Amino acid sequence: MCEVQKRGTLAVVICSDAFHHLACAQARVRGIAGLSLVVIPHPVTGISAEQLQARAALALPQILAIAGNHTA
Amino acid sequence: MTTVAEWLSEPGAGLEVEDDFDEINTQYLARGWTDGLPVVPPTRRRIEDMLGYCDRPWNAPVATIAPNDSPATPLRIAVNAVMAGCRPEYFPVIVTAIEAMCEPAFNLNAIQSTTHLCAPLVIVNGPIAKELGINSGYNAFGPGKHANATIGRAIRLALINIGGAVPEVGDMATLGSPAKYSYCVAENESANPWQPLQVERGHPAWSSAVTVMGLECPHNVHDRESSDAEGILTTIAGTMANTGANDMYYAAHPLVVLCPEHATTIAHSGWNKARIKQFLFERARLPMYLFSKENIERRFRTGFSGRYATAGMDAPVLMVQRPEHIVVIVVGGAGKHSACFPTFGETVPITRTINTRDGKLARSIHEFRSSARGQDDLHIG
Repeated sequence: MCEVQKRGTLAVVICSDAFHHLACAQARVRGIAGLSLVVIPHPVTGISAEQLQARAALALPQILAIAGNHTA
Repeated sequence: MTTVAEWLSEPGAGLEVEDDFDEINTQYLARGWTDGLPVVPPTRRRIEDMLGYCDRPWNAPVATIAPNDSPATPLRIAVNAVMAGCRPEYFPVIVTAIEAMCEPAFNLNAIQSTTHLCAPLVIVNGPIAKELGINSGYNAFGPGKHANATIGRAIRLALINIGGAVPEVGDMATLGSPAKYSYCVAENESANPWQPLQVERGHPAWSSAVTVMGLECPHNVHDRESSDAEGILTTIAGTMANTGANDMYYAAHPLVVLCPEHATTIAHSGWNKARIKQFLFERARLPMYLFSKENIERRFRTGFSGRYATAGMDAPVLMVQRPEHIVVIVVGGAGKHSACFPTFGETVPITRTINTRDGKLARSIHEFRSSARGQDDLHIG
């Protein structure tokens, strides 16, 4: 995602809260300290379709907000 | 031109601590620079001694270690090797192992930061393994031998301190594993009826090499009754097949370690390594009904739709995708205990020969000694 961002295309990473720190560190190491991160509750795997939809519902407005604020 | 001594004398290059073992270890532990065990203080003299067995420029990176992608210079690696308690002559093995695990195909970034409990295993082959006394016999994966314990620990400390595999920060392993303290072994070549690993992987018998693999801890295979290849390998295949491994979801390259007694029995049956691998490939399978309905639906029917989309519940699930993906070596002392090592999944074994700086195969570890190279000080390259 950092490489996509570096090429000028908006990239948004969705991560669960348990991995927020790692995602921030990885973005920093790869040269995009300000990479847009959308954080949702952990876990993402092993949950029901309804639980997954609820996480998507949390993520979507965050993604749209980031996209709305993005200037190419 | 700067020497290591001059560089270490610069402000901020080192840590000024009272010359006291306990105080140094308190400081290091507080900074998160250890594996939790006491370390040998990396003083300037000890670092210089360690670099006395390095024929590369001490400040030129040999690799970058994920997940932080930090440069692994011989100096930085040497600090960790000293902390681990290594003898200087171990250093070329450590450098070669780090180079190997930083090759992209090994996928160190994922191995370091995954929730899986895998760790890089270092397998050493060739005359240098014997020269350094790396244990390949009794309790080879366990404690008791200095080379195994400290080479493996040096690599772990480098993965933490250079690579950033700090628990909860860069190492997200749900459970972790004892193999993350130290994971280094030599192949028992004298008890191996077939080619040793580095020869099988294309290198001369007189070469020394390091093979790294991203693996779980050993899973024991006790079989004292089987009297031929088919019997022993049936027991091993049964151990390889387990529903909790990552192997069946990837093109995994699992490791099978044969103890000398099992290897001898298999060889007396007239089997070579290719036949062993073919047999294990065909037998290390589980019927789909042994998996949970969610795994069947999501991981097999959806993830591998070409193979399992409409497969019946008795359909065999392959643990290994190709026979040649299975790595077979011989390790251990007397007894009838072999072992299987499931993998992280998305990783392949990497073998690197131990070479001198000019790219030639090293015949002895002492070719790396600075005095043997006519170099008594440590300069920038």
